[in-house]
Amino acid sequence: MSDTNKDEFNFSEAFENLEEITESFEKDDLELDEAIDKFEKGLGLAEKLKEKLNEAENKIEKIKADFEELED
Amino acid sequence: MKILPVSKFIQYINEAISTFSNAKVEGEVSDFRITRNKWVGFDLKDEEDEQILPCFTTYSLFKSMGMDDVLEDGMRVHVRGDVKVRKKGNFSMFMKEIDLAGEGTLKKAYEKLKKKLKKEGLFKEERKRPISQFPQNIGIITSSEARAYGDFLKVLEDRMGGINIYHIPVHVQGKNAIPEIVAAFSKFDQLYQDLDLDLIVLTRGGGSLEDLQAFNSEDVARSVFSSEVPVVCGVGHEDDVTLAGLTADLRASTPSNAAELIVRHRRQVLADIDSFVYKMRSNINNILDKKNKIIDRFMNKGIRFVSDKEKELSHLLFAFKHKINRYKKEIEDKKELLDRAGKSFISNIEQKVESNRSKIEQSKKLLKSYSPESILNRGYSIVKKGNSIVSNVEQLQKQDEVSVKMSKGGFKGEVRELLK
Repeated sequence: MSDTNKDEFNFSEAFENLEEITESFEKDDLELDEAIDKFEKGLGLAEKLKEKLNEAENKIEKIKADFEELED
Repeated sequence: MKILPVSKFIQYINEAISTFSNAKVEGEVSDFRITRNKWVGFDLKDEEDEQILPCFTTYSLFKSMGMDDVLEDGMRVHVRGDVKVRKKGNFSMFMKEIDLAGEGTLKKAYEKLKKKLKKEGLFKEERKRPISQFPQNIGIITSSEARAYGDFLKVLEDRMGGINIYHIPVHVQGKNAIPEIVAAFSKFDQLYQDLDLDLIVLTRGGGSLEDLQAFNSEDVARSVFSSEVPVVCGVGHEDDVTLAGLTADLRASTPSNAAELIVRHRRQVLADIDSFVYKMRSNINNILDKKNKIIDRFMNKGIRFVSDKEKELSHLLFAFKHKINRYKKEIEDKKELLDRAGKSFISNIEQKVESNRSKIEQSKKLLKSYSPESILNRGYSIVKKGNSIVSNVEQLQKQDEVSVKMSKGGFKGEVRELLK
């Protein structure tokens, strides 16, 4: 089995996180300290996401299903 | 010439016709029947001719061919199986394969199965699962050779990178297609946790209804339905709505469209990320502005408060000073009064002393003037008889010796006459 699927960075989670952080700015009456913390976290996520988006290639792995009994 | 018993004769005949077991025979189904859920049989015939081929198979085999609830009288099929002269001289085929043949039949079978699966709830919208917005691990079930596979990969790569694709190659048409697709789904059901699969794509390009038959089969539809991972089905062209597609969590019109539906273009994602950052930035600026305003307001209030207090204090100070000055003045006045009182007291005393002194002086002068010496000086004399001063003639008698004291000196004499 490939290890690549267990990537420590989850793009989907990171994107949702960033989306949530952005929304929280609009909903909550944030304290400045909290806002700055969130902003820094958001910027970090944006950076990582962009880095990930720059990956050009997709990896392809072939898997054999159990067709033995089908051969005739 | 050799004479044969019936059984032997039929045995030879059967041996001679066994090569026809590989032949595919096409005809129309008539007198279709299922007996005691064990046997399935029908007569296969040509449209015009009276000739019939009696066909039968087991119900379990019939079901595994995906024919249950599909086959009915009037349908055209291709059958293949063992042909034999059986007991009682009946000639028949034990079917190992049944394929629907012709657009009409396929259409009919499709509609029939569609109705059945729909009734069972396989196409219900509410059972469709959401597809991950950013799938990282995608399973794909299709043929390696199909153009569909290449199209799918190309569109996927144009849009997004860094995705892991797990491909199980299968036949997408022919007799192996259905079992292979079903086996591929069960393989992914075993592996989906290890692979962390986000979704499975089932795809093939367009074709005739016959070509797409596997994707209209009950078994494939059920595999799609029971898949542990959400399934995206991109089979055929725009108008091909397969039963697998109707069952899938997401139906794409073509393989390329499947790729478009499951991954967003990196450009859009980048734009989203930029807009998030822009929103965060403008919101944090708003927060800063708000805080600034609060601070300004607070400062203004503070300044006003302090200046108010300052005014109050200066009023108080003024009043205080005023009072102090008044007290000072009062003390000053009192002091002056006291000074003056003191001075007048002293001068009074002095005056009094002076006046007393002059009074004394006067008294002294008066007293002096009254003294015998001063009287003597004025010419008066003091007559004494012994030691007693004689102020009255009565005190004297003739011949009394008297002494007369004058201012300067005196004399002694004798009274000669009394003058009364």
